[in-house]
Amino acid sequence: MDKNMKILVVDDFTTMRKVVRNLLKQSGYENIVEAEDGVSALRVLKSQKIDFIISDWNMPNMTGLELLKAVRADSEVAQTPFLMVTAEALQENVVAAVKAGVNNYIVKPFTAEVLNDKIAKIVEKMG
Amino acid sequence: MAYEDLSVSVNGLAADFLLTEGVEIDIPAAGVLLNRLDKITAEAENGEVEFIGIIARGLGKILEKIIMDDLEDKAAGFAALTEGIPLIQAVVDGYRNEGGYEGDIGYFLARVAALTGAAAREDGPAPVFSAPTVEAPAMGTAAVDPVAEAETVGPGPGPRDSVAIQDESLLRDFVAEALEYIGEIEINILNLENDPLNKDYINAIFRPFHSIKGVAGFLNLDHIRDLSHNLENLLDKARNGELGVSPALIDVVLDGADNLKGMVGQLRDQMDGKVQEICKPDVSALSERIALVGAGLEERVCQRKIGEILVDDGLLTRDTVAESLKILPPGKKLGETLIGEGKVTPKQVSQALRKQAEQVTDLANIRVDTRKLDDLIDMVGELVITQSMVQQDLKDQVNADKNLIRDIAQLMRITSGLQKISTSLRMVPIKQTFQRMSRLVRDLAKSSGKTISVEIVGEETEIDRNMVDEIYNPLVHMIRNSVDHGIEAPEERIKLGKDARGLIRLKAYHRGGRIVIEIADDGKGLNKEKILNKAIKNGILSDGEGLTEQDIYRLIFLPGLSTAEKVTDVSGRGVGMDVVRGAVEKLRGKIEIESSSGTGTTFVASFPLTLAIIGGMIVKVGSELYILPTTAIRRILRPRKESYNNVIGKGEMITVMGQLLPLVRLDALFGIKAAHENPWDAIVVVVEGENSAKCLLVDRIIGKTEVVIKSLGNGLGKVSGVAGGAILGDGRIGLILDTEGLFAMTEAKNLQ
Repeated sequence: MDKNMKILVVDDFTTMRKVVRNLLKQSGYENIVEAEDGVSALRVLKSQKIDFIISDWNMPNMTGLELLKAVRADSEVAQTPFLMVTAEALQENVVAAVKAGVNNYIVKPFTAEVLNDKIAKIVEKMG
Repeated sequence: MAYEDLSVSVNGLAADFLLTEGVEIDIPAAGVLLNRLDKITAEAENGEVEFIGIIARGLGKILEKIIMDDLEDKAAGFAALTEGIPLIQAVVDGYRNEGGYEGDIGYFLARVAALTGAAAREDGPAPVFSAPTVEAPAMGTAAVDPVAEAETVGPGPGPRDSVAIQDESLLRDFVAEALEYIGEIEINILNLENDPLNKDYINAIFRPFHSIKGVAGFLNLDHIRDLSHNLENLLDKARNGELGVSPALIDVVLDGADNLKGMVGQLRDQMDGKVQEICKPDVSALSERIALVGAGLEERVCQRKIGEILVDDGLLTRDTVAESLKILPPGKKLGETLIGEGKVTPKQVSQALRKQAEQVTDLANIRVDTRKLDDLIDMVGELVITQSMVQQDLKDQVNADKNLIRDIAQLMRITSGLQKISTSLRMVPIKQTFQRMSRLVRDLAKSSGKTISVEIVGEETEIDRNMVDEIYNPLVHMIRNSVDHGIEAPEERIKLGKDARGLIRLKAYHRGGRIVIEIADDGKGLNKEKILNKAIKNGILSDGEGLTEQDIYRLIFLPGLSTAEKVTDVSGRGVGMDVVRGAVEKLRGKIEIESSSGTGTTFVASFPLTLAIIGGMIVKVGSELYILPTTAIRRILRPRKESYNNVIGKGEMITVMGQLLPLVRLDALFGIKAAHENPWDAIVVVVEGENSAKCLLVDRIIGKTEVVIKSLGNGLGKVSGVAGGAILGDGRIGLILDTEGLFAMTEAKNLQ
């Protein structure tokens, strides 16, 4: 497991980004970049190589789902693993994300272990 | 043929399914299958092969359950997929080759239904609000006990106990960010109130609650998480159109935001060591209201339940009521049951019911046409005047009946009470104006690249509804000034050791029958020297000798100074300040300014509570009575003969305090005959207009009074120089003079 991979954390709530960052650090991930919404996330993706995306669902300007669709539609970054953070496991939302090609979803609040587990499984599958 | 497309799609589905790794279908694979199934369903519907569509949808449902980890028997789900996909293939082949499919799919559909139905938690009967209590006969509607309803709970299962993050810097970030978000909520909910159908506003309120909830979950702030969760759910319903945006919803969300703010504030205080322990706030009443509004039962939101009334009256304990509620058969009323059990008497229940009904009438609001309200206030004004006339007549009679005197005195008390109530009907809190202004600050700050927070104090202060729109514009000017010129750019503030974020405080309160509105910023303050220099340069002053700080600040309201183009360079303030003063004074308001260099500037504007009543001076010219607004009068004097001059080309002038002011003869303007021809026999009232002062010549000063302003009626239209009419205490009619109009009339006359 490459703990040096670059993870992009997308959330409009600064404190939430910090929470996720802390949890990731607990599992040994150090290489973390942040974006405050979908639009700036796409900008980050254009400017540097991102290995993994963790994005909130509910954001202004561009929702997590819209970001996911935009990522999948852009051949340069389409393969980037995408973990969606949701507040509730709402079937309707999750199914929409799954259809749009999300790699997995995680329901708030979660522990460092659960987060690490989800990331590890996705990365493992991607080979 | 449609079947060709279908056949390709179905074969694709089968191929993708083969690639999945047994029972553990991973999410990306499930996504691929779901998209395939969607396509098949659409094609089947196009080709009118409903059959295939039904199977495809059934398989989709199973996949969704697998994704949601919502299947009790995963293996059975996977088996159904394994069997269903070849089945679809067979059906499509049947249609393609033979035009139909003879086999039985019923058994398969039953299996899908059993799988998805049994595990379908969300398909179960929706929770219903059915806790029965006593019906209030006065209203004919059922009272509801929301305690029994479990609609508002925590956000379900989650590993929340193990998620404790006790990081102080995180907590501090959370406090700051949450407070900011709550501020946004408050603004947006007021926008929503004005535009209840605007989904953007609902979203803008929903999202912050959602975010706060999310982080609170991580930080183990259960009470904050639960409350924001409940509010978020409520707004979600409004967003989906399940609920209308009603005043009750607005109120409960505002109250919720208030409570949340309190909780977050407490958290900050605790970290600052101001409080040792956080007392868990009791939000059960609020949660009940949220539940009620959420269930669409808002009309009864404010109603106390019968059980509560009985408990409050000391007739029962809370436990007894709870017990009776527990065993209450559906459809049966709590009151009846309690009587049946012998716990209360029928009389006590009926009394409680009456209290309950009273509450409803108490809290019921009705909407009234403002014109009707204005008429009512007018009529009451006349009643007050007529009453005082009667009283005056009575005083003039020597042998007045003692009983009559007493009765009239009683009548006076009643009428003045009536007047107070009727004026209060038109009073509204300043809240909405303040909210609009704080929105404006945000917008202005954004466009000027500053961050500014707004603090609001006294938003419940009331003001005449008719004044609200009038004062808005001058206030906007002041706000603009504070944002544009008062508060420094963030970099500069940091250099000065201030918080990068500026602060504007809006404050309202009542003082001496007026409403005072303060707009304070923590910016750079006014620069005394620069104002003085500018004033001297513009010839407004010869030097700054003997001027107090206040006097100097006041200079920025002068037109000579403030309309000058480079004023922004002088004081950083003052663009249009004379205009602001003019607008404020037009409303019979006053404006003052306080400032200290480096720490900020405060505008203090005061306005009359209502435009319907005016304080005036009654003056007599010939046989006519006129009323001059007190705010316009600068001084009253009897001029000496020497101070009167007739200047060629300028007309008659009076020297007042070394200033030569034009004399205005009211009798000449209005075509009447004054008692005195010579100014030194009569009295001169110095009145101030927007830009100048003039002397009005009157015969006598009768006295000070407060009058209700009345329009002259449509028959007369606009009469220049006259602002309106009033009925005076003795029943005579006086015209209220409009100084600006008078000035215009005299200037027009001079030109001729």
